[in-house]
Amino acid sequence: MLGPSGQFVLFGYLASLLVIGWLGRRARQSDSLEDFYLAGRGLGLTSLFFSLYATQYSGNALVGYPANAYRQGFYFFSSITFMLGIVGIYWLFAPRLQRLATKARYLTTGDLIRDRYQHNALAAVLNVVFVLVLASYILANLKAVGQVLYAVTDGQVSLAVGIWTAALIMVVYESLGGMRSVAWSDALQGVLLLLGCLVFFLAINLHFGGPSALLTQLQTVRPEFWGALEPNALLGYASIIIVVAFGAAVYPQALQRIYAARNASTLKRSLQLMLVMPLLTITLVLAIGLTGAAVIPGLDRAGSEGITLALLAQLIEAVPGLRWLFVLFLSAALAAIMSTVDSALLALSSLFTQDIYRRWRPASSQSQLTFAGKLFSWLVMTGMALLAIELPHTIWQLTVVKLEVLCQAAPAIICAVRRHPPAGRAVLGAAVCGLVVVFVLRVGTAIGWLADDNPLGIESGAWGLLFNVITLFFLSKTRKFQFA
Amino acid sequence: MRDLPKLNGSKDQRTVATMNQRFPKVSQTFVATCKVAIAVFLLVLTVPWWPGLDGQVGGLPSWAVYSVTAALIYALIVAWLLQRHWDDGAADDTPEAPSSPG
Repeated sequence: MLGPSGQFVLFGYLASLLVIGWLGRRARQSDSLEDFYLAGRGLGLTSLFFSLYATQYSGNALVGYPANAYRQGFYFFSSITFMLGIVGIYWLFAPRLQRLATKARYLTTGDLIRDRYQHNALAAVLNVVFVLVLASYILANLKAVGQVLYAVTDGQVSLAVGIWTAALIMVVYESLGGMRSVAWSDALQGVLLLLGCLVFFLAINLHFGGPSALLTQLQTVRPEFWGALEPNALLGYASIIIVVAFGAAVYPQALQRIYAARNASTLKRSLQLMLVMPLLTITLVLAIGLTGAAVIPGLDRAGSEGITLALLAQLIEAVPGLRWLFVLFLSAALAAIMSTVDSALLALSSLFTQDIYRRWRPASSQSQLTFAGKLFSWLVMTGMALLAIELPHTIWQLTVVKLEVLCQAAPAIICAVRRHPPAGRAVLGAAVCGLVVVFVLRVGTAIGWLADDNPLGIESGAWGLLFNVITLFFLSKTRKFQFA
Repeated sequence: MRDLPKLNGSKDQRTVATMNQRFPKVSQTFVATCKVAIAVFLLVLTVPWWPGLDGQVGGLPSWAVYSVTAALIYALIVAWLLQRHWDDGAADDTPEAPSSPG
């Protein structure tokens, strides 16, 4: 599917990432952790905005969301709201977090937890949650990059080779320039992602007859999309919004970008710009999924995961002159995936260096710590690439499970920035309670003890969050839990 | 009433500082809880719960049109909240008053 010119563009894109990595290294101001992991807390509006955008919109947005729209129809419009909801949740804590991080020189989320709650066990539990989430994030996206490269080269590039190539490029440019390289490459990747969505949306609309004709066709083949929503479906709709908004708002890599903002004004403007992006990105990818449902009906779950590529193939077959569109889409997909993986890898590496290695070897110099972080990145990337090649999972499944777990950390983060945070012991009890609820619902259903992991249609993560908040409320009122 | 210090910053920050001086802990908890409630309430409002959304608008199910419209309004409200109610906690730097006068 990819001709010589396409291969040239793809090669150029990948090579440009290495150049950005090298430029990031040249721009470094010191050999310190703060410079490596937070770009010296100097991210300006463009870098910060595109970095937040490219980090929040992963490969899942280009591959998983159209597939969900294909299967669920208009019901998946909830994704527009939950991506906006993330910014709404930032409003609760990002302004204070940025100020606290600058004052107290936070590098990781663990720094925030230890500083505000003075509770090591809470920091350890949340760090375990973050490690699991970041690892699953890297895993899912590495798998996606392998699948994309395999599909577009008609199997000439195997899944394993695709994953290893992407992993190597990412770890090289990250090791070269740290956050600076990652943020700059995110800017390039964000532009590609945006451009890919816009152009692909316009092309399929023009080719397949426009929204009106597509809607008529869709109503013929999938009339159930027009049905009224049942009460359980509405509760599910509300709960997925809550789970994603709270969960994605506390991604460690996103929090790291808040720390890295140059000042409050830069952060404010970036968040306001982020409110436009669901409309420019998610709306378009949902339209692509719905178009797929209208023109290529009858695909099963596995088939629907490749709906974007299937539409693209049909488009190019009908209009060979649009072959360049394929290269653009491929670049956008790779950009979306790689920008997410590099950010998660950087967050994971900083977590290891600051929260584990530095506490183990407190006498280490800044350059030794930076070196340990880079070494850890290489080890993690190697392990994740091996796992991505071996483990079977669809991208969306991994995403939902990790957000259900991650949103249990949201109350701890939101309360941490308050002037008088609750006692660490109470927050720990509440977070554990939320995690246990999610675990019981998920595992109980998997082994057949429970009939449904989403009772009343409500996502298990939302049940966990509800129990988490209720427990936090009562524990923070209990005298025993008010003192460490 | 005690004399309160003159503060620089937005009206919002001055209000928070005044509240902090008068009600050191209650105001913080109350304001934070209200903010969370507002954030969740606004999100829940975007769900098409309402009766009468079973028709069509422009070929789309009316509940889907409601959902997108509500999301747009939500985006505008959050943009305004970010602009006007950017609480970075600067007001917290004012010293706390004793909880009981005298």
